[in-house]
Amino acid sequence: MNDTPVLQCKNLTKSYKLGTNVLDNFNFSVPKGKIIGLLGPNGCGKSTLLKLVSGLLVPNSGEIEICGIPRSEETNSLISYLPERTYFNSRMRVSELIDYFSDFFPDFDRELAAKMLDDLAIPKGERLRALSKGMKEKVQLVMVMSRRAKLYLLDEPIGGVDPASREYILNTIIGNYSPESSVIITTHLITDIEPVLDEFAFMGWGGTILRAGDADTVRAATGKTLDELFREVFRYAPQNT
Amino acid sequence: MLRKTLKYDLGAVYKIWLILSATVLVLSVVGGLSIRDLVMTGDEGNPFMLFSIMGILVTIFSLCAYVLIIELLVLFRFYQNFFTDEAYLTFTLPVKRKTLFNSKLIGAFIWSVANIAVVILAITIMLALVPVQGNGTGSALYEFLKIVLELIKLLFENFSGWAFVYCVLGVIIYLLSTVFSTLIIYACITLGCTMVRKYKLLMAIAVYYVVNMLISLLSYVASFVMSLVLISGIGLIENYSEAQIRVLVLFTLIAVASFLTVMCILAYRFSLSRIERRLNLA
Repeated sequence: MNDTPVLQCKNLTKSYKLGTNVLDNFNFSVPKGKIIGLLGPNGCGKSTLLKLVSGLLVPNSGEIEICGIPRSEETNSLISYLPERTYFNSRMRVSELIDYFSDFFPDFDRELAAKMLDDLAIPKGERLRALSKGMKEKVQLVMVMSRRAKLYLLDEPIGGVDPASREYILNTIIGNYSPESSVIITTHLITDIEPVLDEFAFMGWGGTILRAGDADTVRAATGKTLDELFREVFRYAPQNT
Repeated sequence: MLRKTLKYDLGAVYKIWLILSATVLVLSVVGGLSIRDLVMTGDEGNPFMLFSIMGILVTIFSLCAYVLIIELLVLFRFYQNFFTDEAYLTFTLPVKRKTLFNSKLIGAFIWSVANIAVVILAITIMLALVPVQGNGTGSALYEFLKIVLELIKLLFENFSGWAFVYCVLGVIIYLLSTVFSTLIIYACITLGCTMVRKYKLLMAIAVYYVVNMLISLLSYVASFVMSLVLISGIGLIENYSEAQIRVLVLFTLIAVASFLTVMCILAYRFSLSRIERRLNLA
């Protein structure tokens, strides 16, 4: 069995302005077949990490490998990225988005996308600008999760959707589970996503991993939920003000 | 992948292009009929003169607006796809950034050529409707084509086989200047948008303004130098043989084409390198 991690970051450094590193010599590895919660306070570098992995940011130094391949446009076909903002052309219809994704991503499953849109009662003939913010976020999630990618990067996937839809979305994430692919989720809604996580990583300032491990093991050992642990870790973090 | 990206780039503009082109062509009929009315009736005792003048003005304005709107649409799409939130999708596609940029460039070139074709067609329609004589006989289009043919004949008479080479070079210069005008704006947008994290569009406009000023300044200096050379060299040019003048024209055209080629390469490489290495979507 090939044990090459789905994602490997080696000595990754990224700064937006001179002297302040959002990520400083960051090392991180994601094995196959895991759903990982990347949790941390605002500004600790979670979104920056996902943007670096998806190629939207250029690192100052360090290496990123996806399934053992150095990051490039080629590895975009292995990654399915959901940013924390609405990013589709609002003039496009939902059905046109399906065509667009089918055209560019050979691993896009049209039938799955259509089914998920129907389940979430999203009209396919509607233009995105006619949909509410929550509906747009659902459309984005459907598009991203309808791919058979190796690595899913979900930045705040349930932040803008109603609690009733969250369950469906989280079930979709579990439903997409494959022993060959992994999912990284960042969110502040820890309680909501906790049941789906295999592993977690608490990310501190500068990209320091303060605590990480198997979610079930840690819960059993401490008798606390990840949400309670998060509050504990970041309440006493020196720069967590 | 270029075929796919180009399909979406062209698809985003073609509906508006079709509607505007149809509008402009219909208005060119209105413009042509307005000029026809003025030519046939004159300005004395013509109750519809005001309408005719308005018709002509609307046609001219619509032609200018048409070209401007399509150009702006293409440029705005470049900005939107590469430097706004839409870039989150653009740059996570499994497509090389070079291919994405080439697609935008080819798309802009196609629309520029299509615009020119529509403008030429609109002018042709107008000229076809305008009579030469006050009694409505003769056609301005016929007269115009006669003048163009005369000029071409004159060119071939004076320069024989060279005229064909000049024409080819003229077309090449036109195509290169079309590409360059797009590339220079793309380069300015790219530079402006990769310099700052906020107010990207404002920065891009500011950069374009500065670059445009520099180009104008250089053009003034170049034309001033050329004027001096021409004034001081008139005597010399008169002494040139026909063969020498032909070579001189040829070299001038080649120099212009070469200059444009170099400028295109520089603007292309600059834009692409910034998009590949300096673009950070924070």
